[in-house]
Amino acid sequence: MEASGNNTYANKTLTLAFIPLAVGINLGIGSIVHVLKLPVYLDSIGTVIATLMLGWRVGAIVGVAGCIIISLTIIPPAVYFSGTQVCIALFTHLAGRSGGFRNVFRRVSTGIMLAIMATLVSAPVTYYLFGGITGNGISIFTIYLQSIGLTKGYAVLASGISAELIDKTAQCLIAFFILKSVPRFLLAHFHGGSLRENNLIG
Amino acid sequence: MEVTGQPVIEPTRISHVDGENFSGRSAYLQSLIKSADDESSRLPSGVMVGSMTASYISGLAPTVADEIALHISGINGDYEHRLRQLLSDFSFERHSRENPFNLSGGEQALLIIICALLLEPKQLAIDTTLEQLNSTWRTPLLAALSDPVFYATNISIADNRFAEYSLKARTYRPHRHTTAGDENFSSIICPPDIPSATVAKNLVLDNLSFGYTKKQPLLQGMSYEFEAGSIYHISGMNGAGKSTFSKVLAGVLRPSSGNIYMGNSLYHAYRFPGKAVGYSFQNPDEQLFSNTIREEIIPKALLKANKNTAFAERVMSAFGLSRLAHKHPSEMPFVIRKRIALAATIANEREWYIFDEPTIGQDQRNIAETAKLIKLLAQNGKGIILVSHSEQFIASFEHVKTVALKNGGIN
Amino acid sequence: MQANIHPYSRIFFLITGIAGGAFCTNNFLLLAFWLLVLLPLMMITGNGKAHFSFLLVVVLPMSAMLLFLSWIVWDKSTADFGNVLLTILKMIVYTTIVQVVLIIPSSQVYTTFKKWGMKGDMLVTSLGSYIVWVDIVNRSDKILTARFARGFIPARTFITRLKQLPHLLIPLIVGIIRTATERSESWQQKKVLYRIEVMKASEIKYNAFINAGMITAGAAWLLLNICLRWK
Repeated sequence: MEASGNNTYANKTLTLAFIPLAVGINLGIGSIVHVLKLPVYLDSIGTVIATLMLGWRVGAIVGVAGCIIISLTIIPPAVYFSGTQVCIALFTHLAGRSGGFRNVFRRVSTGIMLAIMATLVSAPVTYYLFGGITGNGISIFTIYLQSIGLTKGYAVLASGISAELIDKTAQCLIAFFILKSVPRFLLAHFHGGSLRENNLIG
Repeated sequence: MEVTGQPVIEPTRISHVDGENFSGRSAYLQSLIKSADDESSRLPSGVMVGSMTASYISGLAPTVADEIALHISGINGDYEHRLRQLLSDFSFERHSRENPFNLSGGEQALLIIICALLLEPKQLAIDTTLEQLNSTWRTPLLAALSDPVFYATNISIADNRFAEYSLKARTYRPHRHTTAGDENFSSIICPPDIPSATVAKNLVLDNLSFGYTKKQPLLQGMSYEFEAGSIYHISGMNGAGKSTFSKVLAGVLRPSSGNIYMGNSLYHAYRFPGKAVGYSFQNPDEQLFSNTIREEIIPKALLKANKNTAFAERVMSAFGLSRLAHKHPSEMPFVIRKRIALAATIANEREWYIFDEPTIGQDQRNIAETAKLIKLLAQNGKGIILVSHSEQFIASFEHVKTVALKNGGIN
Repeated sequence: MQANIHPYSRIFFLITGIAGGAFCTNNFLLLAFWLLVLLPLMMITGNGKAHFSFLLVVVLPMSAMLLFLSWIVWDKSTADFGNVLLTILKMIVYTTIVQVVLIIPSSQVYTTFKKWGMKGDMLVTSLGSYIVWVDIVNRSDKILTARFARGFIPARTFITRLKQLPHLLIPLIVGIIRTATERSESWQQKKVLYRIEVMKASEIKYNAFINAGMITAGAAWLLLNICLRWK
């Protein structure tokens, strides 16, 4: 199949064919991690990959669709954090366009900034909708922080950032590692993302 | 579209696109479809199906019935009627409510061909899809393709096993078509000998049963002795349990009851998966894990264990992969990926080998060399179990024993 | 007894159920709604068994954790306990409502999405995402099987399974990207984006009594909670 650079209909079809499969990546990895009770989420790798390949709008759709479906089966509160997925897509796209995944240092930096942003967006949802605790492992840390004197708001922020730092950095590194293993001639079909800026094609 | 008078059976309606691997058959079929395509029309003019069946399933239909409904063009009711009749002959209605991705490979292959025909395209290209069908389905399907009902569709078939099918078609050999980046891939060449360290013991099944649920056992009370140094062919309909049987032997699935013996010793296949039995899958993409072909065939674990890699090197060379050793397996065309997966299985020296469709996508010359290689392994004391829908390939082994799977048992 | 829920009933119940729950401040009312309306609906739609195991495996541990953590943090007054219980019950009720509405039998998915007014890209994305899970599970299973068969997984322990994750991801995602490129070409040839709009939906018989009951229950739930809130 030739790379369809100028054919917008071909691009649209490719995007629509890819979105459900990227949703599947989020579902698959997120489910495995949740079942294994690991102290991370890893539920946005599909979002990051889709954003790097096709841009932030596609990444946002993948993220939101994944949240809705995973809410039905494994993680009920996930749907309330759909906004976070949109922000992850937006930030990843901006970072990607600036070559934020070009080397290990940049990837880690992108992960850290993504973690801060994700925390700022998720914390209000956790605070107002769930009263500060969602019933996962991170909540234990939130409680501990409250018990040593932090207010609920700061405890949610602090526990959120500690989890997100590991999680989002890991996701950035994993997403790039995976894309690096994909043959370039396959990636060349995808436009609108930031593959070129991060030396994944061309 | 109105049908007036008797449709004329065009003798040129079905054509066989002949040639060796990398002679340009797939590219020719793609160009046929491209030239038939009318972008302004909402009706499909040119449709192609290939060997990676998952790519040709729409991915938008929750059930098989929906997948079929999606493809009904409704122009000529005779197409739909004839194809539904065919599906009924194959008892395919039992799959109506299933997710298409839960079908077996052969069932998916049948579904994608039927769906492509339902669209009533002017041009249909079938690129090696038929190789996945058992003859019980393939023969009536091919007979149906010649049916005058499908007079409006030209069908071009690229298939390495075409000689086995009794199908009248004109033959076309495309001119060699090269695209930028094409390499000259070597053919498989069976060496005069491959020295190997391990000799197999007999594989004995004692009242072996397996089922995903208790209500529906797939394998029931199987007892059989597979002799080392022999070649066996597991036959059975698409969906009869051949893959399940292979997985139990390889230790991937735990039998619900019964035992497996290797020689006189009890063989705990499930506890030690992949230790005594190597298993090569039909789809190579599910079993390629490394960044280079060399690493795939001679994995780091083998090097770390300081094991002699001479056997693995000979296998890699036999499959014409030594020159490509530094390449990424995923960059290779399907035919080469299939060879890599096969080579990796053999190189991972085991007593018994199960080869599921080892020759899929391979041309006649490479099929013959693969057969020679398998015979050589058997001569060197290995036990071989083959799963293949190609009667010609099986017939090329003089002393092959056929084990038929039916209704969960061995005939 | 199994009954088919009409797409309009689903949407109506989703809106009234969630809105009613948002207005509700009474734990007993929430529990009663779950027991008398939601549970029977789950049974009627044939999802009773799945729902119970979901409650047992997912919701119960989460709720227990919420209760336990809240008990540690707060001063254990009954008011605080009541608030936590309210949060838990609302979570259970919302989850069940979403499940009743959004877990749709495979044969009805297309009809339901069309009746909800989905079309074009939204229809394609929704359908594809809804059914992709089966494809991903099958692919992952085949890759894991291949690793077992190659002898790469020496023991079936938690740690060895965990170590398989990176080896699973790459062939999975390479396969997905390859499928996406081949599938999009097939879609273009077959004009799938047009075909999905004009596809003939299957005939479904809806149980009038159940659907009327569902709409009534949803409306009554919302009205009751609004009245109680403004009393």
